[in-house]
Amino acid sequence: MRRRVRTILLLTLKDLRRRLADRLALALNLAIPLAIAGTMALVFGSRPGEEPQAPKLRLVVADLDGTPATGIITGASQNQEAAKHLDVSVAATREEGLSHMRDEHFAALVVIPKGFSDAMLSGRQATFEVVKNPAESVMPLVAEQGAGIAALYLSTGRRLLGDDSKTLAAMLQGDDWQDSAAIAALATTMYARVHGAGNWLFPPIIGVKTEQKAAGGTNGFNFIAWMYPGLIVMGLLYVALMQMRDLLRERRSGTLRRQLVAPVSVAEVLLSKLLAVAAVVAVSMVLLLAAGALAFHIDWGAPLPLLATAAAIVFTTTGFAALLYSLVTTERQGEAFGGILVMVMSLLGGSFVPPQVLPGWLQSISRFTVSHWAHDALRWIVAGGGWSDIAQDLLVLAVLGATFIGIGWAGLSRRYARGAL
Amino acid sequence: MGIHELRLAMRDPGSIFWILVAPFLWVFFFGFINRPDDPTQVRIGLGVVNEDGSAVAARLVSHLRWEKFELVVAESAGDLPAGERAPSRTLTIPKGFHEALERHEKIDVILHEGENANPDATFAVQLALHRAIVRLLADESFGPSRPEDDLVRVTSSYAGRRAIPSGNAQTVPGNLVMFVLLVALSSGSAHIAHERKSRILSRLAASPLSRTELILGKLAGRVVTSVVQVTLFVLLGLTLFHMDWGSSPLGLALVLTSLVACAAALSLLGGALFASPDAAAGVGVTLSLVMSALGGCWWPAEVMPPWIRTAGHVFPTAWAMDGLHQIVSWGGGLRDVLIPSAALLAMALAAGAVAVRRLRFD
Repeated sequence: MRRRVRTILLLTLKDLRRRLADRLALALNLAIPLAIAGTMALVFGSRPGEEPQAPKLRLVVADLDGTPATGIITGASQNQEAAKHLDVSVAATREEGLSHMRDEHFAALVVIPKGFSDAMLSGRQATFEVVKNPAESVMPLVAEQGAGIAALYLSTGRRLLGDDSKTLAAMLQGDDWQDSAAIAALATTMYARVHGAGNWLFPPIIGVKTEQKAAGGTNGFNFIAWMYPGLIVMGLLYVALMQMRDLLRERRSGTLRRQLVAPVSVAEVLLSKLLAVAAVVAVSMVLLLAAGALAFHIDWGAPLPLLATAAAIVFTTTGFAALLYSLVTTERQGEAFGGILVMVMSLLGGSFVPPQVLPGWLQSISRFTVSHWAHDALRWIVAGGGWSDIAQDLLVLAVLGATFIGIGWAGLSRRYARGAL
Repeated sequence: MGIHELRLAMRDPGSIFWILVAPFLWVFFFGFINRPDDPTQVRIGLGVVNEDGSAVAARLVSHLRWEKFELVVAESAGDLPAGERAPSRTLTIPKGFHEALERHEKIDVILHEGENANPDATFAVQLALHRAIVRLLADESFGPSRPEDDLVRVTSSYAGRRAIPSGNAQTVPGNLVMFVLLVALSSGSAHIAHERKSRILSRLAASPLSRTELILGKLAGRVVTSVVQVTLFVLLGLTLFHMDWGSSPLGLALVLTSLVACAAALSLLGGALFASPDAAAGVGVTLSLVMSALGGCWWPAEVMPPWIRTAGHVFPTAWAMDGLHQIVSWGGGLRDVLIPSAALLAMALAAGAVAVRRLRFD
């Protein structure tokens, strides 16, 4: 028994040394998840403790009314707080605004028509227009929603003014600015109203506190910390497949068959191959985890749950690769079907989008993928989850891994024994 | 040579998948994800736990009914449906809600987002909640009113010609650009590197073909593959995804031809620079994914910081997306795509020139 273990370890170590010598191939496999995560960090990322930077809403405003009331809208970005979220540019006409939006990539054009303030203050319906940029998807909808809320506030403000709005309208038109008694009376009434309702409404006295239960989704949601575990699993699946492909390369060169001339059994050689693949996957996992911590500031939580999760993922990805290469007969087939399966599993398993945005039937299919359970475990780890949170994931990964290894082992050893490997 | 190259590619199941299947799988998947035209227009399930039970809390619930919610109201969390029928989000109006309002003290209602909640829908819920709260507070101050009584309204429309950018139509142009570059830079470059490594190119050089003819032939191979991809995208976009490709076929053809030229030249460059097919494919995949992300193929460009949006124009992806947006989104014509197409052709010329200088047959 001791001799067999020694033989297997010796074979594994020698094989591992050979595999790790091809650093370029390994680096290229790890480069894909790192490049995707790096790009996402560049676009969406923020350092720990920093508030995530939401993209600024870029608006063009064409104020055709040109009254002090509408001037508040055009000058919105001069407010320090609003300037963090808004970038407002002014256009003299609707056409100028449209051309500005098209050429300089603004999200929307807000057109305040002539007579807007007058209509609003005299109690008539007042409408302003939002023209969305058709080449953009998200920010124009944000502009539309924001405009809806602004309209609600304006309607509420109009109710706050009550009958005094007509006096204010006359003043804004320059008729009553000389009547100091009227101005004082208006100011007093308005102060009383604003003091009463303003305490409730500006800002609203009722707040909304959002509490999230999703794995990896605490109140301080970190997009990269959510995304990166999915990319790790995808990268490891590719590494496992690339390493297992070596079996078919050796078949082509006849080295595996020649090895059987030595005093080693089929089981010993095959086991050493699987262990070498698992070792390369484990090294890759350590490198990807370290890159996540150093480059993207991801906190991998308690070491023991992380270790158990990493071991389960290495076991299952190695098993997946063994199963696939027990079924295909050529390297080309292995590359093609391996690539397809990893892509489909990554899409369904949540590497790119949260599985919860998928329809129910796709979510059910997702649960049959390695990616789903591996992501879930890693995302719980990142979210600070403990053993109870990852227990089910680890169990499913272990069962999947054992099944894959079992079937893969049976197929590979049969082929190896009859000289077809 | 171009057609022979395509025939060779079509013998490889991997190439067939990445040229013919994967792009459309990708479009279907992300199109399906983006399917609702506007998450704010969808009715969203919301459980409401009214722990306060006061009249003002009931008025907040009735304001919520005016928003696009499917409401399930209960007095405690235990009374809400459980299991698969459990709402993805629950709003709790806490005990002491009305007392806090009477005392003019700030009070929070709590929105619990479940594990399976869609984040887009949660954003829509937050907006709708904000509107309901403002209406409630205005009513408490000035007396009851209805949304149709609002004095100020907003009309909203899209400039240009497109109705609403969503679903498959939104994902087709980005995926077209990404997959043309992905296939050209990965399997296209790897194929040339393989032919160099296995000395097929040096054997071809012994034939009566000149060096220029050989290089042009290899380039034609890449062009034919990319043309097949682009044609499939345009045709399936029209038939399967109901894509509106704009009103300028000439403008669209100019952008797509420039993209194909650029992809073919970059493919040749990859094959000329890397000695190993694996290295050529690995670098090609990584580079095309990064270029696609930074060029606006993966997400709307407006979510990127302005400097990345500008810097992204060192890549062909950003120019190709600019050109496609001019045609598809704005309904532009030939004149509107001259600059993006010129940029793509300039990149093609530069990459082609370096590739021709660096390509060794032995």
